[in-house]
Amino acid sequence: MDDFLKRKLHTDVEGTCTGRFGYIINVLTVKEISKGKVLPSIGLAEFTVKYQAIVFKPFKGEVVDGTVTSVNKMGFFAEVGPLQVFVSSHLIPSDMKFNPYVNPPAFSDENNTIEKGSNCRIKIVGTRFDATDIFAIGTIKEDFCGIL
Amino acid sequence: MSQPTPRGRKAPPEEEDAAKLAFGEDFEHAEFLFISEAALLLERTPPGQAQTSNFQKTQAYVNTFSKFHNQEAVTELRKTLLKYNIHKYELAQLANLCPEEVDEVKSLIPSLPHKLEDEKIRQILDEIAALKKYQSQ
Repeated sequence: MDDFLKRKLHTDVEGTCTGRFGYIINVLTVKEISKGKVLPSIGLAEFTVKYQAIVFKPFKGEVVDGTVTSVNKMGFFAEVGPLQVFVSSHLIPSDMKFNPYVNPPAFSDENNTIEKGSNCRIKIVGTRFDATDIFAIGTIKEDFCGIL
Repeated sequence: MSQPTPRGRKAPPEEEDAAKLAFGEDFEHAEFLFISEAALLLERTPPGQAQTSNFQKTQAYVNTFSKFHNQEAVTELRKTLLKYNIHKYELAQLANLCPEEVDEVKSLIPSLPHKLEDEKIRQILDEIAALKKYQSQ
């Protein structure tokens, strides 16, 4: 029974995302499984399980490193683990210009180039939670942010 | 199993902001893992459990950005940082971002400089740098 509940817990919560806890990446240990309670009239049983897990929740004001996944004239997208971060062109230093004629397209100044695959340090300025995913808006206009 | 919804309690209206160290009540007692610690923990996951795409993305991410690659270095790092009386979020950010300059710390972790003077921050950064340099591969 315990094994079944644990397996059920792993398949049900791992990989999900909620606004309250962020992404639940991995259940580490199950701490406590309550006695089951059969629900009247439907015959299903309910258990309360306490567990410890690795979660990932982005916060406003946090600085993170990410990998650029796509670049277009409006800005670029970066991935921080499972999280998508969008950096608008308004939040990219103004001396970095979008260049659509190179392949892959990139934002660049004399020294640095932001293109697909670059690693970038981003400050999160806002997050939006919907039922199954989180999106974040980032900026690299801050000191010490930008390409790594 | 759906999420437990405590009756009579509404979602906290307070604004979450890392710069003010406000993480909401759910995370008040949570531990902030270093990227390197997460990498070590995920590595130990039994293979059958590691199938969701979020898991794989996270694993790829922590492997890219992990700065300390073995258990001893990570344990040592946490021990070193715990000596200083700083918030666990600041601790994790120091270990994850590995800043090199005091000004960098001020910009990346704005809550920290209020508590510590520059020399103290410099000292922490030097200790992190030393650990990073001399960790065995």
